[in-house]
Amino acid sequence: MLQVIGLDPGFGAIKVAALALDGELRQLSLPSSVGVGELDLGWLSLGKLGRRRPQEQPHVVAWNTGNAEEGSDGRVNYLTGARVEEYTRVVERMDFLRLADGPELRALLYTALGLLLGSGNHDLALMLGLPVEVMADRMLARNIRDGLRAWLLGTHALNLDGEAVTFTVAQLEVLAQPAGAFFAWGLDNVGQWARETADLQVPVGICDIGFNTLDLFSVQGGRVQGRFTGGDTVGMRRAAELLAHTIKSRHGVTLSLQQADALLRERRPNLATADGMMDLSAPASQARAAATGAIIAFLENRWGNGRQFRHLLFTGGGAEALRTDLLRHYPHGIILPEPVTANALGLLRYGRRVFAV
Amino acid sequence: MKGHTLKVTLYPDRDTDLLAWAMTLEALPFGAKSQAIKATLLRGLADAAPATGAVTAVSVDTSVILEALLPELRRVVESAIAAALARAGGVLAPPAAVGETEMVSELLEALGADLLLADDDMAPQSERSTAKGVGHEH
Repeated sequence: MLQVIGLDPGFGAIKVAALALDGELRQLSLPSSVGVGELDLGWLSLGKLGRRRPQEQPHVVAWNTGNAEEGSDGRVNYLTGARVEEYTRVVERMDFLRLADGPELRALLYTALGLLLGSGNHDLALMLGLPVEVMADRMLARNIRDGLRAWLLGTHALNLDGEAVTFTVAQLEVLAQPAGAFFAWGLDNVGQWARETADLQVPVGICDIGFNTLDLFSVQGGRVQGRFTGGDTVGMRRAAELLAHTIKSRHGVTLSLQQADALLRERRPNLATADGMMDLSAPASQARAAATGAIIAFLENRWGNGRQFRHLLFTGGGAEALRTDLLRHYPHGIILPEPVTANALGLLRYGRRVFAV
Repeated sequence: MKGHTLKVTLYPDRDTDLLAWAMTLEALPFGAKSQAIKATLLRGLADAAPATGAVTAVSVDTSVILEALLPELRRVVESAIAAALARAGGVLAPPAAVGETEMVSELLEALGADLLLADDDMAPQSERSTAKGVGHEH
């Protein structure tokens, strides 16, 4: 049977949600780190130095491109997820067209779907979220959607961590990412409205703080409110860039943006360097404050004090990281439960309605 | 009186019942968890000292708890029904036709027309609403 997947491909992480056949909700967030490489380091393998638990290793995803010139019989291998930077150079693409196609996106999407679905054959309908800034550019949004349909619709066979996974994508639709948060808040798991009818009629504001983008979205009476909707590239990435730059200039250590982002989320960030173990609490706090300032300034410019909204919802990984500051500025706002995966959950719930599953 | 934060650690070997109860709180929506814990503590106090009347003066707005819990309760019940139907028939239950008012359906349908990128490209209604809907304001 057709299984609906909510898919929220972010620059920091790719988030997916699905309902299993037994009705259990499954959702996961996979760091958007990907690179070409191997886990086996020969005699330098971590297996010789102290075995690492599998969940701490990157995932290995492989598929056949059908082009023998690309590698051994056309088969390509990628490392994805956490700790990729310990094994290979991480590919960091921040352009929006990265969302349409490319081996990095394919590797991440295959990994996320493989982890979510498990081995075997699966028939899927995908409801995929795109940043508001992309959806605002009709031509770009159409190109990305059509690019995704061109390679995603059809059957895919891959190998994830040694397990064979096959899935067929029958349908694909795209939606603004923060609309997912709205539906996570309002719909139930079968796609029905689960709140008061009045909550569909009153103004609701949604602020989605991702790694690369900050999306504002507003709905009232079944319409998107253009006045309070917009997006910009002022997500947590700026804080990560600032921290990575500080560490590079002070300690000479180059970090990927994902590594810097992970440090920003730690309560006591430390880093081993040639100078010893460095306490990064102060530069991390400084970087967070800079990002918070830019985000709050953008919010105030677009929304003022936000009192025009009956409900004010914050979502995305940045919402969790900046929880205290956001609620100080917008005390009537709420941070959605599990804000990192809330968009994917809402895309799943709305997808069940659209695809009539 | 100043606010006071209670921190209690539950251990798997001797707090099994409390741990099971604590796990059920994790499913509650934002803000409802504290209310549910307070309500349980107050019930416990009332049961322990029914004659003193000391705890009856403390009240909890149960309507707030109920309002916060209802959507989650509905989701839990619907998930259970879906799971039961799936076990019985091997399929997930489709969205039921009942439960949503006509007004809700119409509002969600209108919102869908605004949100979904039309297949036929320059669909006039969708074009208008999207351009207006997600355009930048300077």
